[in-house]
Amino acid sequence: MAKVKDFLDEHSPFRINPLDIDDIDQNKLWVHYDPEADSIVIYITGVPVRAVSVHLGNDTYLKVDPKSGDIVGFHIEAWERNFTPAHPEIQSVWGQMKPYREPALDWNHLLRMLALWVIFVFKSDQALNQTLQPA
Amino acid sequence: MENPDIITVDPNDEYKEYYYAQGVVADSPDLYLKVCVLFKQDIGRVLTAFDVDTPKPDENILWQK
Repeated sequence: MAKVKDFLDEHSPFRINPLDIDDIDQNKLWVHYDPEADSIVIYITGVPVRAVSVHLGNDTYLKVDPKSGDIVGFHIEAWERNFTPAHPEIQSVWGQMKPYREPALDWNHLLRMLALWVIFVFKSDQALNQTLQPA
Repeated sequence: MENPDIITVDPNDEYKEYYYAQGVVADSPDLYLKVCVLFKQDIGRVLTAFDVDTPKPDENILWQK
């Protein structure tokens, strides 16, 4: 079966502004995990905002403001199927967190902590460094 | 979405299909709206939808215009 990459140009037409992750306010992390879609969405803006998911590779996307080019969040598909197995430390923490899923009071706090970790994983990925570091 | 440009299937889950339509996102004609649909017993249910810059390269094409 043919794949999308056989027909379409993979390069994004988007201009993406550099992001210094040290500027991210931990208290403004908004995180949601959808178990059916097996996807996790992280906004660094406090609340979800209009954004385009710009594909980075594998199952990861940056959420980008289409007007300004600013990075406003992160989006990971196949979270349990592919992403956490590729990051065993996160998989271990996720496995301990899951029984406490909503409506546990600490769930949102745990998710925000996990999200911060995920953002640092993004940063440590060499493929992302050029995008996430200040010019 | 009534008129997709590309329909793909998840390379790891044959029951998840993705419908892409270009030109339906306000003020951003180059973007695609991606609608994720889970099929169970021939009944499809929308899981999520979001704007993307391009269809995901590793998805398998079921149909395209």
